[in-house]
Amino acid sequence: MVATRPLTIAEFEAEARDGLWELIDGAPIAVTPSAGLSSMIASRIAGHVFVYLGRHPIGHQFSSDAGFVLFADQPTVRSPDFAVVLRTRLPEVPAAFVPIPPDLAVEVLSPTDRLSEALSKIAMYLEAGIPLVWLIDPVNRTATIFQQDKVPVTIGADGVLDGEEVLPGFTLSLATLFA
Amino acid sequence: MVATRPLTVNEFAEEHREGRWELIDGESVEMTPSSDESSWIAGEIFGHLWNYLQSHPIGRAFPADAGFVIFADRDTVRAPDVAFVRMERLPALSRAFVSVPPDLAVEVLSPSDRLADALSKVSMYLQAGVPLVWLIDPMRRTAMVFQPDMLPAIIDEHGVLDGEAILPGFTLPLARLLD
Repeated sequence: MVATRPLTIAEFEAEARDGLWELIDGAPIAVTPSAGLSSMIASRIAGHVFVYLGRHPIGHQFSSDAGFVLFADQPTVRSPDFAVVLRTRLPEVPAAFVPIPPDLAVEVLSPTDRLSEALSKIAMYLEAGIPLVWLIDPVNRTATIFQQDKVPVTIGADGVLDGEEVLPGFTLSLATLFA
Repeated sequence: MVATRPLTVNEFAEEHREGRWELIDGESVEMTPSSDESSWIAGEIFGHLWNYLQSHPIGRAFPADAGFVIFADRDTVRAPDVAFVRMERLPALSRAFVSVPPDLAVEVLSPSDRLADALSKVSMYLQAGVPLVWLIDPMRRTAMVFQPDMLPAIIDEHGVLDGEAILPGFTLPLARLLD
């Protein structure tokens, strides 16, 4: 077994790898491209949030290729399928990885993902202090909403994604999302 | 920083540590003792499961101190608060750790446990192929039911834990564990 030295965030950033990679505790992990359905659902969420942020310019939105430094003391850079960072926490967007975790992270399950991997990613988001995480299952048309220190909520076809305190007044029904 | 060599499952088994430990990818991690409420709930679940197995002898139930080698190729030994293994997957006991992942793993949250850590453990069980995981949250009077490839089902205090295909006909109202 070859023991490879863990990478720092600066080394990972300087490497300019082809394709999408994440860094988990110093280990680079390739991200498999999403299924068409999953990517379409992520971009629909982006569209609805774009309209909301046009009227309420309180944050920046990022698509699935943005890297976020989740922890100040751990070389971990992860890429949610969609994310929002509030301007109060990030007044200027840097020409580098986003140096802080987002305020909303969205993961859309893809047939290439396993639930175990998605849950492990969400556990890391909650650990990093992200206040609102949406996990979307486009095949079963359900979503689970995770918030700090609250019981997760799974919603079905009649459910609504709510921006909570991150995006006040934002709502997106699953019926609309999956129409 | 002291680099300690990862332990194998056999080395971990021979160490005879005091207290309850788990092995996660070669790293031994001590488990905090449970709160009175969490331990009592785990005992009740074990009791109901034991009782069910008297009339349906389809497998074995294990309380919180059993270690399970949940991956064939990783030095990982985890100890669910309650576990069940179908008889055909464990025809005989071995006087060693249980060599296969369980068919049902139950975790009961203590006030000191964080949701992020619990989700991380659940994701490892699912990755190991455990088909049914119950995460009981006594503080918030709910349970989360995890099965592969489905978003978690959230059960409130009026809901019922169902044995699904793993324990056919087994049902346990959550209210019986919360009062």
